[in-house]
Amino acid sequence: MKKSILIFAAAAAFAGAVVLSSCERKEIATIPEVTVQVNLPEGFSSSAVYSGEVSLTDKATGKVKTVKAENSVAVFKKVPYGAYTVTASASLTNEEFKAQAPEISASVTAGISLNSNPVDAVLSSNEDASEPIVVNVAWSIPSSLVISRIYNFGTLKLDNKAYNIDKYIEIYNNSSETQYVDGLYLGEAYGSIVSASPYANIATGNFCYVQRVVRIPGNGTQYPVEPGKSIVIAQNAKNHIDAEVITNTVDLSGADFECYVEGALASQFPSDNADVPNIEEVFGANKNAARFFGGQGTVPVLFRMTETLFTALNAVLAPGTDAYGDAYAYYCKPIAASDILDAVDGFRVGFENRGGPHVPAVVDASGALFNQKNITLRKIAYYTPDGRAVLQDTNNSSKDFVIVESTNDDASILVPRKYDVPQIQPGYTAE
Amino acid sequence: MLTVVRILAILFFLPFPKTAPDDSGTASVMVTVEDKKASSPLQGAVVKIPEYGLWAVTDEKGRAVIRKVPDGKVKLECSILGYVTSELTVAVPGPEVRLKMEEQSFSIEDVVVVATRDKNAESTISKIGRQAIDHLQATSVTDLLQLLPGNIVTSNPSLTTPSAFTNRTLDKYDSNNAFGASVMIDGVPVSNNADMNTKGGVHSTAGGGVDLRSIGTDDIESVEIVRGIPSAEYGDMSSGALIINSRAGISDLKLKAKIFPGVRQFYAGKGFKAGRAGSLNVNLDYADGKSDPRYTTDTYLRALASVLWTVNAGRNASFTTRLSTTNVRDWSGADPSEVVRDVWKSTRENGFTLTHSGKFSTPLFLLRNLKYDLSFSWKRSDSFTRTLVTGGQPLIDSRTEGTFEATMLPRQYYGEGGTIGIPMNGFAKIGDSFNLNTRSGRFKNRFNLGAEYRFDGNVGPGFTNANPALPLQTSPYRARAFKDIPFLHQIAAYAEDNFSISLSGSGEFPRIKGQAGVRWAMIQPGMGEQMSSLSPRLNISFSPFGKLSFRAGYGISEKVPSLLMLYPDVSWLDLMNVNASKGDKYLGVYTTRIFEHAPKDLRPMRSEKVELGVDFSLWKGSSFSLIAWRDDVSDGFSSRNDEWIPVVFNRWAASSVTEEGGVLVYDKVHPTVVDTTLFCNSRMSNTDVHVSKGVEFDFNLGKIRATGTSLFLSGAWAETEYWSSNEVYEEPRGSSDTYRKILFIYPAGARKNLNRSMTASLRVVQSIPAIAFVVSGTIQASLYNYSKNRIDIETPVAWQDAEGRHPVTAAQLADPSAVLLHGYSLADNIYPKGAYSDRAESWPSLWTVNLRVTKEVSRRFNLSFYVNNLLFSQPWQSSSISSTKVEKNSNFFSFGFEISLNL
Repeated sequence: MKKSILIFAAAAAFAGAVVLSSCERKEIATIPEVTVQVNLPEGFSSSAVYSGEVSLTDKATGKVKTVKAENSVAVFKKVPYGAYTVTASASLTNEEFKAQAPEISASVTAGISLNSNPVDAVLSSNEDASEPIVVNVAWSIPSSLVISRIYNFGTLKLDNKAYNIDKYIEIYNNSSETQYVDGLYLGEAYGSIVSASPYANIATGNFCYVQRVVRIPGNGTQYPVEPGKSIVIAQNAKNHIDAEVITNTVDLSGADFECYVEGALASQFPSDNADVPNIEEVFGANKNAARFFGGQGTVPVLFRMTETLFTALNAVLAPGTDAYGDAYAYYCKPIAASDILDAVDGFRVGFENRGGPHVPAVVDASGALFNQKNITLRKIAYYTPDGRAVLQDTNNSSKDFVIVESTNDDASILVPRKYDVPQIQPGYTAE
Repeated sequence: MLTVVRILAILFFLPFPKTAPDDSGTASVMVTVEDKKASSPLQGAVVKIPEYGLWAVTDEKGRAVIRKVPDGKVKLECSILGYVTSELTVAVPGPEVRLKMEEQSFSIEDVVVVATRDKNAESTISKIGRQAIDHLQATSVTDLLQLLPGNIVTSNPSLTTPSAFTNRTLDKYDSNNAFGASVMIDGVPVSNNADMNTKGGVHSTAGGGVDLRSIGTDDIESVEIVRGIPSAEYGDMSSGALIINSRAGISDLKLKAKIFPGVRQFYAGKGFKAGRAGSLNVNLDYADGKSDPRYTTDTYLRALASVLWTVNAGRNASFTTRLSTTNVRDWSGADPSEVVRDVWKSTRENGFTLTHSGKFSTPLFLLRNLKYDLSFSWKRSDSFTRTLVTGGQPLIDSRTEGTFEATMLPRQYYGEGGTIGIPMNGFAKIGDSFNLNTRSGRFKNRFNLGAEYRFDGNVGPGFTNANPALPLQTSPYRARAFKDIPFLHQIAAYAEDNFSISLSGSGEFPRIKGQAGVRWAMIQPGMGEQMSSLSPRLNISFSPFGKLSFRAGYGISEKVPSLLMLYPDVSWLDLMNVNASKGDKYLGVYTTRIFEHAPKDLRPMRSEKVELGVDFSLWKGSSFSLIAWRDDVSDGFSSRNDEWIPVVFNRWAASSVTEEGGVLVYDKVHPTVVDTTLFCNSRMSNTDVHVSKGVEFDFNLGKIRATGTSLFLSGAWAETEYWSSNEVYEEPRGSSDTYRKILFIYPAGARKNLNRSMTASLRVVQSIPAIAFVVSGTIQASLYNYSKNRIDIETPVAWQDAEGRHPVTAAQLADPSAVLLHGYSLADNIYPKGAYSDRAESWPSLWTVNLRVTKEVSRRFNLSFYVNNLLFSQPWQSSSISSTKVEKNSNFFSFGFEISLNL
């Protein structure tokens, strides 16, 4: 018996040793040091250095490593082999901007953002890190008017069928002065949010290509927006809530503008709210393109220019859409980055790694997330002493926005002009 | 009257002749038909001389006589239910022929389980016999089509998807080909001309072909498929003909059961002896199917019954009367676990067909073979749908012209509605054939003449909404009663000569054979829609010797339009004048315009077919057939789009709507906008073009006697190009006008689709008569699969606005950017040729193996088994233009079995 116990104990000990040895942590191959060189844009003095954040995002896992650059160089230690995206992002106060770029900052009165376009880096051996990874940043001024919330996918009815005529976009006055939205253009960037833009190198370019454009009416001073206030542009300005049909939606009867189009599909635009002025449809890339708000999960681009200039802008062929060489080709209007007040690039949830940029990095360095039953909300950066919320606007939407799901039990998150949800409060960190 | 009876008695009840030869270069052929095993006489066997169209039926002593058969050698064919058709060549005059008929069984030497070419026909006809149907375990006639050259099996047997017969087209959506295919049961057409159930229900077959699911296979004796130029006898068809011959005669009680994934089928049938020389065949068929055996979301149920009464009045007159009933339930709906459960689509069909045919074989010169067919069919089709409708839109339902107020539909509601159609079809035909030969026998003619009358009508109430206030569709759809629509009447006549010219003194080879005929038809005689057609058809062959034959054919076939095409509803145009909401109040005002919509210049759909072929035999038992064909349908049914009507209407902006006394009102006198839109009043016409061509091969490589293995290789290369002869109307580039103001017009045929394919099937049939066992394996391959969408919208030829059509001039094209039309630049509407506009896509070859096994366990018990895609080949393939891999044959694997009892 004793012998048996001894044999059993020995076997158990051996098995335990095997198990323990197999559980021993394996060493993952790493590169000891990866250096990122950040180049400042033209117009910055030669003595200026970049001191902002640089991020390394593992494409496979989505894990992000962030370090602060010193003298325009960021150093990452022990970087596991893998494929990465490198980005740099920083904010400068107006004083810092003026000190570092006296030639180009004279007329700028606000702080600016520095953002890079994403740079791909494959690190599979130490040799891959022998040279620094070079990242170029561009500067942009935070806008007075920003797109503050995007509800662009619709929701589900109680019978679990899609309901997607309750979409809206909110535009917020993020400045301390009254802004007028008269004549503002709102476009949809060309491309799908589940794939890259067909425009090559769009991130490094200076144009955004819009496929559908609407314009806010007004004589120039007809539609003022006070600081900290917003306007809501609804697909259908009506109360979409119906206790028996759909509750996970929103009452948009108080919207400021409606996107009703005469003769458009009654299923998408059932009736015209007499109390809500209509936004004007001014451009469609193709006769078959859906109306503004007709699609789902589109990338909004807010820009301002004169009507004459807009009309004179020649539409250009969207790459690949002339495949059949006929009237089904898409012709998009190129909007210069300098005319864009704000744009929120985006990807559908689950397609973050497949959806490429749809707007230049100088306009938006990264994308927010969009999805059905979800609303995409801009974070609050801080509150002014008089209680005005100042929204985060670093032109880097993956950081500036959060996405929040709404449910049939509580659809309060969908209510426009609502700035008391914890997810967008200062200090809140999304999972 | 008494005289007539006497003449008939003399004609049909003549005693058996004592001597065969007569004095006019003709003689009687006397045949005695016996069972091979029992040597007992067989009554009711049909003895035919196909060359002359002569026939006779055996009496109780198994004896038949065909009178006045021209001297020479003739091929004799004898058939009777349950026996293998027997063929032999006999000399006329000659001694009495004794035919020993072999009972149909899988224990005989020559089991035929493939399609064979009908050698007696001049046209290209494939024939599929009872044993092939049994071995294939067909649940519907569609399953049989896999035996045709060029056809391969690509899906499992299913009853939940409608299927129609199409012939020689690679456009799987070619509804005109299906509509133009004729399906005939015992010589009587099954018509789809009066099917008008387009709304509601699971599937609509209106404007398409006959749904073959509703035809059972177990009461069929044989199926003939006319792929080439048909005889002038066949009309109201353009693509091909599927001729079904029912089982007629005395037979055991047969019970069958098939169990396949998603399909169950049961059959009981017996041929009773009825009277002294007749039979009564009773058939019952039940089948049900599911798209997926695990679910009840798509189900199909079929119950068929038929009674066929055959009376042989003497040896030279035969009458058949057939009554068949059809009961079909097709249903699809939500799974019980769904949140929304009570939604469904349902199609129920109940109907009957009564046919009566008679034929007489007489010795009279001009009435050698007299026949008639009468048929009447009636069906009620209820196609209904219940669905959860997303409303919240204005309800537009006015039935007259004018301006009306619209109510707002509830946000969501259950809408239910559908169509009740009661199509009825009638058919009457009389035909005659006679022979005219030279005395030498070198030039033989068989003339075939006849006349037909058909009608198709529908007396159903048409579409109805269960609750008009909660319609099935939010988009306006107006109901109309079908019974108000005139019936479609057709009269037709045909004449045809089947000739044979021997170029040698022996009366044999070299020989030219042919079939030359013409068919004249008229629809709606005496009415405004009257139209007529003339269809010449020719099949001719030249045989330098017995084992080689060259043939050629040319023919025109025409299919008349359906009732829906001929008598469409008017066009409705609804334009919103006011569509405003304010709080919970709504004001909708719309204007309805009605436009007459009758077809203009509509003609029957015409198919022009050409065939060239060669048939030869290289060794005993082998046959090789190679056919090149072309089928040109340049005026298929489709609507034309060249009639644009400017419509002026008023619009009031929502902002101009005010509230008075709790209701919304608008200023009727002062509209916000007086708008114009161009409305396309499309009319049914002949704008669809399909041109197909191909080469088919059908090789019977013969039988290896030592092993009992037969090899058959068949296949086809084919091409179909199709387009619309309509000009292409496009809105201008950058147009955001909801209401059209201008359209650019591009040349006809700017969009063309081209499909090409090459398929082949090698069938290996292993027969072991000793154990009554047959196994057949088919290696089938899609060797080439190519498609190209050609789009050439480049330079507009004209533009259309409210004033009419304006040609684009050469001067305008010289400087198109200087031409502004309604604010749109001509230059912007000249498109470059697309990078992919001629880009073709092709797929790698795809191979599959299918297996069929039949074992005759005993004379009374048969067992069959099949496996589709035996090797479970589901390769991932990518096409020539995409690197994305697609799983092929993804749902193509199934197996099942059939049990058959003879009691």
